[in-house]
Amino acid sequence: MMMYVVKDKLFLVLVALLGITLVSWLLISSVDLDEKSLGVMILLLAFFKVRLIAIHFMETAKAQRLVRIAFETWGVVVGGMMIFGYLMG
Amino acid sequence: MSTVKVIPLKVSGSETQIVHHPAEIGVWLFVFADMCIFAMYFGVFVWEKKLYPAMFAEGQATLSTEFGGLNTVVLLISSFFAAKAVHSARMLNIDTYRRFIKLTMLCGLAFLCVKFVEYSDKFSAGFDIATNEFYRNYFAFTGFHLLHVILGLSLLTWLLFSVKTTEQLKGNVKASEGVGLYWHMVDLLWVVLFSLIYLVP
Repeated sequence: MMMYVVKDKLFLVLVALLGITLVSWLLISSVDLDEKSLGVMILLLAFFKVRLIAIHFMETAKAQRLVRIAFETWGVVVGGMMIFGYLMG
Repeated sequence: MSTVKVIPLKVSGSETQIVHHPAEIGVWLFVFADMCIFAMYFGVFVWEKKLYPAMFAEGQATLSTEFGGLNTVVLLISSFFAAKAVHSARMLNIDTYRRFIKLTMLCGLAFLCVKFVEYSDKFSAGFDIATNEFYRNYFAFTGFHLLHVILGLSLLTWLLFSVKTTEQLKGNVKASEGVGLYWHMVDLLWVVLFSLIYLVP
């Protein structure tokens, strides 16, 4: 049973997503970093989670090539613009 | 007494490869367009945060990261269940499929309950959409996302009531993939909203 759960790729992705959420939470509540660095780290972690959801749950990796390109571009452009806008603020 | 003949299916050669793309291209287009609309909201939020830094810091301090974090966990788990439901649909395993659809819906309903408590908390503290720019963004974006959760729950309910047998499931694999895709988008957008509105200082 345990081996079955460990071999379940979707379950491992869920564990990773929950782990990253916990790390973001810990960053904001206990790490003593300057505001901007903290904000950028949280946004980077959020967009890493977005990519995990897109590839493994939405299955963009198995979708048409155009879909894969569109989703990867969305992540890079939106994430990049948000981090850039945040740093400019 | 009738006999059933099992005819083995031979697949010869490796030249013919059947490529299965998840969900219809129209659903992908719809989901991508929705994500682009939300991308504009994210941009508006970052822009207004830059214009009113003190107001946004004060507003963020009044939010409950516990409620936001709980809803993130709930939606991530629901997305896992939705992915398992799609997997079961492809295997034509009706019992497992329906169980995972129900679990996804349960998580969706939990999200609604937490949001209801959170909004009630804000209204009773005297905050609403007209309070200031921060709260206008907070209620508009999380409210619009909430409408997506409600639409997703409606689609899941439709699947639950229209797919009860293996035969019905055979004809609804693509529909299940489409609804699953929509539900994952709802989860994906919340991941960004939570980080942006509740966490980023």
